[in-house]
Amino acid sequence: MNTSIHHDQVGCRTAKDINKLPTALTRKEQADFEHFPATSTSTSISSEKSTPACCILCSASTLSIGHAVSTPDTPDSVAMAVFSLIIINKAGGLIYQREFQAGLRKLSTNDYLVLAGTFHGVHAITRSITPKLPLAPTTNSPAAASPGSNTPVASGYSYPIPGASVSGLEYLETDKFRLTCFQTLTGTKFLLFTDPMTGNVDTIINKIYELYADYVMKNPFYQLEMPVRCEAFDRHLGAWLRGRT
Amino acid sequence: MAAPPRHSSMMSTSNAGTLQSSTTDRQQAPQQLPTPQPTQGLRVPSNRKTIYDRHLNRSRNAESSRASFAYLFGEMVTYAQRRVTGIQDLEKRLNEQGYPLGLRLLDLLFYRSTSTSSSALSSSSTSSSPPNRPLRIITLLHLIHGPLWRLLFQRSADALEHSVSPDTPNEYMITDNDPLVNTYISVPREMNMLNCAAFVAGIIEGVCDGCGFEAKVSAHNQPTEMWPSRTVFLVRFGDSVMEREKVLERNGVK
Amino acid sequence: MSTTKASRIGEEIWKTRIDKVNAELVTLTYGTIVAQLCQDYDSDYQQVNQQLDKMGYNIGMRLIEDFLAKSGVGRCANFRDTADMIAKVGFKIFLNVAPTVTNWASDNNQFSLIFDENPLADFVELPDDGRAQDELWFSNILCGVLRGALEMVQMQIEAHFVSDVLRGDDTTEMRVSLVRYIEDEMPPEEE
Repeated sequence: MNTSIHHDQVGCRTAKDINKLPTALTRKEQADFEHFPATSTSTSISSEKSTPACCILCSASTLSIGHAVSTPDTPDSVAMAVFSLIIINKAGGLIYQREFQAGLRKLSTNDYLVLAGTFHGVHAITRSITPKLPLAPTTNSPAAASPGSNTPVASGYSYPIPGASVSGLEYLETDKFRLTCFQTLTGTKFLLFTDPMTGNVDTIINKIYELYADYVMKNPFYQLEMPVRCEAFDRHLGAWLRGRT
Repeated sequence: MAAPPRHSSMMSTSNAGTLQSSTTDRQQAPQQLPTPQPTQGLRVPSNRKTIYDRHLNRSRNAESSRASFAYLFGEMVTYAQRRVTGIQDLEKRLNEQGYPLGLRLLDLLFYRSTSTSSSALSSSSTSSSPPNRPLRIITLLHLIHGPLWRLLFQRSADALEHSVSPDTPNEYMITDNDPLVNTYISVPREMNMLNCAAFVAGIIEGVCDGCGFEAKVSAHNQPTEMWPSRTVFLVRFGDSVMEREKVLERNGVK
Repeated sequence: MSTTKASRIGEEIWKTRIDKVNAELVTLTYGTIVAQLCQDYDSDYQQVNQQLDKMGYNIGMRLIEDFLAKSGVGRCANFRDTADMIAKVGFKIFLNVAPTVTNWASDNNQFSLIFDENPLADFVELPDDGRAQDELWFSNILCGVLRGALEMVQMQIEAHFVSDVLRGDDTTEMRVSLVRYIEDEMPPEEE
């Protein structure tokens, strides 16, 4: 993937000596202006103390491959917990990780990176082992009606768009949590850790994707494929998840 | 038509011809002719789909997506960043990008304010005389706070204040609690003084200058708990403006 | 997916899921960008075209995520569907216009978009310097946007304007060609 982003910030980093405030403000204004360096430091992505690490993958009891379209297992269940979110870039790098509430034990930063990379690899493998269906264009097409996930298209088709047909690992479940993976058509993965009883995970992930499209991708200071450090994204994501329940 | 005094190099202003966004800058003006007709040099479509054949209010209530604006503005910021030496310089560049827009919007504002509420203030004006151009600072600021903001952002600004300090009677503040231009922008920590609404400050400056009120306008972060991207636009009028203001005050000009 | 279905989807998303702004703000902001480039590149319009295309490419790579998130559409079955998706959903939800898809090449890999309305060019008259009307593609950013956006969903395309009312042509037309589908390198598939 050719990501030719021209983002020359070098000049801007050095300019700490800015003195852009007017010299004479009213007293009230001065007081208010003094606040603002503080607010910009309020963002931090999950830097709380980490408890002993545990490998999430090891405790996985089931591994399902399939086309998980909305799963209303327990509609309106009391447990609506969203534990945490991980975003993995196209290359398998961890670009975002955040906990929303206690529930999952925390991992070290390094383990999160390993988790992201491992999941990325496993995901690719699950895609490659997806059974291929024999070419049967007429009978096959109605089954492909579910949006976003087409049935595998056998070779020989005039435009078998590569990689489109198989989704790879979509969720992974233990007694205590469920990991749902949503891969966008561009290759970015959103991994959401929720209570196994949480319903409408797809809706939640879609909303997160929209917030990502807004507050990450529309931010000129965000460089594609790099770790996400966007204060507005953190803020809106947090507010939306809090407001949900 | 009262040409902006400090920018006589800008093409003079007369309805449709002023809004050619294709050539906007303060120096380059001479090559643009303020002719109300297409000059013989320009080809026009046989169906005459030119700006002169369209009503100027055609797009008045047209809508586009906020996303498109965000992407364009984002590219403007990214592009501006390439050639600057620091945050101040970046803000200056964004300001300069907004400035010509302000000059042009001014004409659109006047045009619309006369064509809709024709006799609001300009009852004495003949058809050829300029529309109700603000003469006093406060009228100008109301024009910015209200009509200009509504034209750009579909709502008025949130506050308009005058400095209470006796040392700075020339300073006014226009507050926007949540500037549209910053909706999706998170400024990196190491640049936390930056406010991309410097672009809007430039627009305001263009409007002020276009009206004959020399001013410097800058954008400042002033977040509150409720409004994290609250921005104050500080408008500082030049000495000549303040002096004229006193004369007008004495003569009872409104 | 038919053209009318794509139109319906586009209309529906535009009406219900899109945050709006005054179209003139977009027009004037774009005009400011082009004007700045003309100034910075000293009216070297070839360079301006290139720079606009590059900016569009950067935008496209980001915009595609919003397009997918808002539309929720899956992958297109073929390039004809892609064309409808671009014209009737993409242009609709971002610029509130829906260009006509036409002039298909016989191999279905090349089509034209005809713009009856081009909100980027409202208020615009090109400089009367004897060159701009021959050299500048004012809306060239759109070519870059398509290129960037489609590349992110594994399609390499080429796009350029062939006519523009700003140049005195009777239509504004963009030609879009599929170069290839980009192979997904991750799983070493043996097709």
